[in-house]
Amino acid sequence: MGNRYKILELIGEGGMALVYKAECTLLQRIVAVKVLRTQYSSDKEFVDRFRREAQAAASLSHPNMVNIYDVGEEDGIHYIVMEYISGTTLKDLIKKEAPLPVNKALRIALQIAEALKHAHERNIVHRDIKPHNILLTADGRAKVTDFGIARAISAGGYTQTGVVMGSVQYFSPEQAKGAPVGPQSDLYSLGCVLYEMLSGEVPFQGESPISIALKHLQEEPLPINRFRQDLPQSVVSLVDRAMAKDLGKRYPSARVMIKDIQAVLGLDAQSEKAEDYPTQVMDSLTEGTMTEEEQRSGTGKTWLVFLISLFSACALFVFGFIYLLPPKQPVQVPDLVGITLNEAKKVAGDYGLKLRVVREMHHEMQTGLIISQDPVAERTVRRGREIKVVVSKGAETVHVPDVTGKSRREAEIILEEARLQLGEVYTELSSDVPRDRVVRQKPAPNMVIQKGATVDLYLSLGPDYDKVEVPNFIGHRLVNVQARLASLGLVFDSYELRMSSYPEGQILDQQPPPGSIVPLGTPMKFVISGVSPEDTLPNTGEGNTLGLRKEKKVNITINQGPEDQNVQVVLEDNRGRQVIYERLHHPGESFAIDVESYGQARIFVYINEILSYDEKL
Amino acid sequence: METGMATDRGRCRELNEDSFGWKDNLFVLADGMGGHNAGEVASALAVEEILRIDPNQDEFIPSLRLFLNQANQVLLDYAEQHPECRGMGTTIALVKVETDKITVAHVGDSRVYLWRQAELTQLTRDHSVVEELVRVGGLTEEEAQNHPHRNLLTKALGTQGEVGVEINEVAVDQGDRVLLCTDGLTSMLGKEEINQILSANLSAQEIADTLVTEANQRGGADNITVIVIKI
Repeated sequence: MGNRYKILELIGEGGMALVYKAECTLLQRIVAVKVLRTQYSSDKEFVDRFRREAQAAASLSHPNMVNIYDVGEEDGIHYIVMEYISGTTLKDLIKKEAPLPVNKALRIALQIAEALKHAHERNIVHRDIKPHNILLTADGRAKVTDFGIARAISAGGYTQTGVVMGSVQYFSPEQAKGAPVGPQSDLYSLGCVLYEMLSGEVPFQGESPISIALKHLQEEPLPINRFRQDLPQSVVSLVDRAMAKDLGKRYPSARVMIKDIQAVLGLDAQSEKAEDYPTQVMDSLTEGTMTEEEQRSGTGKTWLVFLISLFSACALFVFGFIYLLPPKQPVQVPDLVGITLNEAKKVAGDYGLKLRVVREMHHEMQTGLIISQDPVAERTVRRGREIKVVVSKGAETVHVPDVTGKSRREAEIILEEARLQLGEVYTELSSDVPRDRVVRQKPAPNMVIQKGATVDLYLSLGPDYDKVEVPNFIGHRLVNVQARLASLGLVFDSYELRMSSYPEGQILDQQPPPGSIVPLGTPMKFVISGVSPEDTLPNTGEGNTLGLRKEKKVNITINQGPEDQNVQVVLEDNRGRQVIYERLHHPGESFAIDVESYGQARIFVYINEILSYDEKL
Repeated sequence: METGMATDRGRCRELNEDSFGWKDNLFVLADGMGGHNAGEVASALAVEEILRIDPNQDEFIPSLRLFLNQANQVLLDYAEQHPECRGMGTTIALVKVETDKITVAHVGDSRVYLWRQAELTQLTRDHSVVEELVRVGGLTEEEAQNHPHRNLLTKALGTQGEVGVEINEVAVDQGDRVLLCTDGLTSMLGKEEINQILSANLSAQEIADTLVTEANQRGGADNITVIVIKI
């Protein structure tokens, strides 16, 4: 499909679309492809709306959303390509495990709210938040899917009994009424989802969608704390406020709701923002709760330590000194960095200070040890003051992908997606791996290493290693070519300068010429462009053999696809072939390039080394 | 199957010389030893070598034996070519998970435990001097836990020409949990403490993080690596 997606298997079926697992042959990654059912594909108005909404949703990118990579059409079949998530839906989790532990439910709600905040800030309302649309990845991250799709359906006037029945249980009163729907409607639905996670029951049950919709309008749900005893009042109010029928009483924005959830969880909004992956948020929350337990059970131990220390005169002195101080006396903040939380609790207790704990991934500090504190050591504060400590959750690790057999560029993209970096690139002999393809990599595939670490590549010199084909270097800059020569099995010999209108350092000629087959290690000679003070060459009226001079603007728009797209524009004219533009761009960018040509001319636009456009000038 | 993994250099070591990785349903970790960063090289080479196996082939166990001996040879060759790495070696522990059974193999003192309904069973017997002493009845488990020579191994990869490898198959049920760990965990936490953490109602990743945090809490004398698999 799209010459790019190989369908592997059907993984889901909805009222509107079929979902397939597929392989993106370009990037060698697994994706999910949602294909619109044919009954909808034939309705042009619907299809346009579907594409518009999908494209709007594609502009969103957030770790708590199922990201959309591509929206396309082939032979009348409309499809959306999105991130493939192997995991379950929140609906499955609720069916299996509800009522969920309070922290777990709040952690999931927090992530949904983060995704909503991101979308709402870009004026996109989901309109169909329900547990079926929340996917949970194997590592516990929540991801919201189907942004904007609901709008396309409802505007089309399609009725889908199964789907509507599922959705109406989470419909906001304004949706039930058919009134205008806004960001707050998503928050109501999220409230219903939270209600269900905590209680195991949807807030309103009924025989038909109509009767449920009526209840959303008229009835109050059974108070959530009727279902379980362990709900703090803060959680009850949170659910109530999210599910308020009156918009004035409901959370005004996802941002405010996030703040409340974080407050209930005892999270610090600032430090949450510092974390770039929501999985970490989840981990930090569970650990946060454990810490409280540790704290409770830890008091006994602290006392024991005190009794022991009573035997030491020195400790007795410290004890007396600190504990006889009246409250609110100023104390100097002790240094807590580099010690464990339990140790820090003891020290802070000695000083009459409290600790507030935040957990973060950290690549240097060992797991369980304190990375930083606020206020910092030696500051003078009053007793009873709370010290915020950030505790390390250890380094984030990633699974090394297999890039053997790939080109350097492909390998680089794959490594980047795996949150690793390209390290050194070497060449080596290989009898079975094609030239310029990765023979091996270090670390090897499937190792687990620190996020952001480097992976070295060994590229093949090709099975025909004693001979190499000389590539075309004309039009490239000598400095870049010199760096590449070794990996191609060639050696730099020398260069001479020639005045020209081309940029300084650009290669005008090469020896041996492009395409020659030469022995490995052949020395290369180049002619490069020297300084040309006044572009005399093209402008000489007389003896101008270059041909007619033309100017043209070439407009380029970057389509959906990989985040980094290398755009290379090559001009072929009477002066030869040269690269006139090369830069990384991102999807959605649009720009123009001025092209100046002489005589017969043609330009070629390559995106990620694939010819995507060419034009005769 | 749900998995969680964590590694940490501990509070006393400059470097993390443990390595680990996984491929499909095969999980491997190794604890390297040797001066400078030779230990790191040794553990990484061994894990890389094992991860070349196709875990789903029919002849898995014979092939595993072959790869373990191959890994041993790779280490010996490497040390031969890199004099600074002479004397390096590594432990290894690995588990292949299937629906009704796991295949367990190890060399040295990295361990595999099976947790079932709040009961923890050690599936591997350390190839260490202290463990040999326990086996013949010379030492109790408690004495072994604090024995000064508990790091003295009787077997490791990369230290001798031939390795006798123990490979066992163990039946498992849904709900069982498997723990692979290096001795940085087991020298800091007793079996009962490990059992308690594994019994907690936490995700596999949370269990892995908690194990490492607790080991550091107790002093973190060595690198700690854990892989937790909920079946």
